[in-house]
Amino acid sequence: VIAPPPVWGLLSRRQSAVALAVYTLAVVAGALALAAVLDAAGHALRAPWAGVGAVALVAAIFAAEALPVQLPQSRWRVPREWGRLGPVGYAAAFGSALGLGVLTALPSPGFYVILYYGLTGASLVSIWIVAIAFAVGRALPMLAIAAATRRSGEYPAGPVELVARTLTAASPLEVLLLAAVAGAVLAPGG
Amino acid sequence: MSTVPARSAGVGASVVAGAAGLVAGTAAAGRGPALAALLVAIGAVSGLRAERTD
Repeated sequence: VIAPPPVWGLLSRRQSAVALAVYTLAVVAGALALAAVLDAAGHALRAPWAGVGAVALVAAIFAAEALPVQLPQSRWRVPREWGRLGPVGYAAAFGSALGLGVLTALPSPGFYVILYYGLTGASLVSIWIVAIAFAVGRALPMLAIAAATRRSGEYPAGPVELVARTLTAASPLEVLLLAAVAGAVLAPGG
Repeated sequence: MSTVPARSAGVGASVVAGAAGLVAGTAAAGRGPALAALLVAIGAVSGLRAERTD
């Protein structure tokens, strides 16, 4: 589901804006919480740095959809019953679940690089920066669709389809970035 | 609908992108800021791609 309920429904303009703001902040908070957990685990594990390149290389292969298999991922979904929490509560719960990244379906193969990077013992600030980038990327489509919803007042089927197609077409960009990380880390001097 | 050719074209584009990325990344080896920028970019793209519905 590309656009969960906090964006539209039987909400007033103000409720929708508040729910969206809470959702966005919750995505960031979830991502920062994940970064903190990874940082703590990373200081104990000190995963080898070369592994970042190896994971990036494998992730690039999967991002290219060159293999007929999928990376392991959670099948859990945010329960619809959480809607009982009310618009703001649901937006907060939904956003934090998505921001954590590990609870729901695998965001993308590149997410494994983020996870591994957090386990290398890199500085917490650098992990947070990557996590915030993930959160911003995760929240942006919702913000764009919400903006389209406010304009039309109806379910934004067109914008949802456009965003979905655009993000699907961005696969080569993800492959390029992952391969670049693999090259930068695994090459001599990397 | 010609989904198989479209998928093949997508994989082909990804293979070209991957090769270009490997070359660019190898050239950037040892440059900390470049690698940091790449990791941030992967974070953003990973978040964006999470919302696709393919």
